Amino acid sequence: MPKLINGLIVSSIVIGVFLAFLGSHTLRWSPPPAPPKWEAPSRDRPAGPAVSSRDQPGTAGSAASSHDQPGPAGSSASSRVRPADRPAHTRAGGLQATPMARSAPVAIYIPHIGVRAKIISLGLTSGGAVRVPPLARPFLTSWYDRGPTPGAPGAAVIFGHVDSHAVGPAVFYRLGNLRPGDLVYVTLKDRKTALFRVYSAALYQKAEFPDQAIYGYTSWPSLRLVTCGGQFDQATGHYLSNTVVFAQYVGQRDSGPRR
Amino acid sequence: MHLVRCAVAAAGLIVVVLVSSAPAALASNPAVNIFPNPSAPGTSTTFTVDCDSQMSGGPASSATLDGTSLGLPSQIPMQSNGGQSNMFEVTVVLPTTVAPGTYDPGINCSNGVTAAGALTVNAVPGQAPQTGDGTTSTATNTMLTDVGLALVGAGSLAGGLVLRKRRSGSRI
Repeated sequence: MPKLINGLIVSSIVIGVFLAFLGSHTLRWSPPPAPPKWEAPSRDRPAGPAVSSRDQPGTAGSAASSHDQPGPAGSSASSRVRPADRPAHTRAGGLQATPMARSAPVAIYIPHIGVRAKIISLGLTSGGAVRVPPLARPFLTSWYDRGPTPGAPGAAVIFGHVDSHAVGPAVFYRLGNLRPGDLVYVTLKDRKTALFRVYSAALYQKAEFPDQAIYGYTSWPSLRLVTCGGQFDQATGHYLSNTVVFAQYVGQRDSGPRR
Repeated sequence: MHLVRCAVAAAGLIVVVLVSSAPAALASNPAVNIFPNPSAPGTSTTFTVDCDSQMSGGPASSATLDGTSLGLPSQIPMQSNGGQSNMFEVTVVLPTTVAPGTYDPGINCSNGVTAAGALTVNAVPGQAPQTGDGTTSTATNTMLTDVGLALVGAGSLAGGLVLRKRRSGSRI
């Protein structure tokens, strides 16, 4: 009997030490998912070859076939995706595929990754960087209010945090899981809802953040969703890359998305 | 109530008509169309002008855009727009260094007509956004650690109790 008790005590201490060690050496959450690497059709040469071989010679031949294959996850290398500037494939189903009047976005709904969040309007900091919601409000997204509104011609840009100490995974944690064809609903202040379809997703190093691809004018309404991703730099306290999802306008409808 | 609303609407309509017909009546300032407007640094922007003016001395054969305020050349030749006479257009890429604000680049037609369009340049954020504090990439599994430490604590406590009991037992 004493032997059993002694054994229990010793094993609980040993297991406890092991668990404590394991706990301090493993992550509680996994790092944010990264979008796969692929090449999108270039905006400048819509009639030419669909794949640009100039930037990534190594993948030139197989880029078309590797379109949907996930790349190495967690890699912070940027894949050079040029968003296509082409009209959406309009579809029947109560959708009106005409550009919308300017009205600030108030809510975003992305069924595929379970995002349902409020949108606030934010501009620039005094340093010229775009303002994002406070980390203490990790489930809030922000729209860059110096640019077009969602559904109006041009590229509307919406930001959200990937994670926050308050909650762990934040509103756009799973943004990198979005794939071409996924739908994004943005409800505007005038109670109309703009529907977008994802056509590309990519990871860009912050130093190579493609301003023009994201903020540049597009004749057909488009949407960009931006969050952080890639590797995390402990020294600076920032992620080294940004995950960007490109979507194009499909149409509008009057009421918000039904639950 | 309905009547009042009608009257207000009619008055508003009259004002709109008056305002919109005023420039047309003058017809000395040819229309400059800028697209997109507002534009942004690095964005392709198209200027279209109609050099026809009742004040001019005839049809224009060419036109140039003065881009100095935008950091572009002073005489950018404009192309004749399709088959329309007196219509010229040019597409320029705004320099990435152009500051946000309102600009009025001038257009000079060969028939002496001058025009200026009001172009608003919006700011493009200068830095990549910081949207996360790395929690999911750095936070360790504190729950597992807590359970482990609790086990160690409980084991030590039990061990201490057993030892004490054994010692006091051996004294008897």
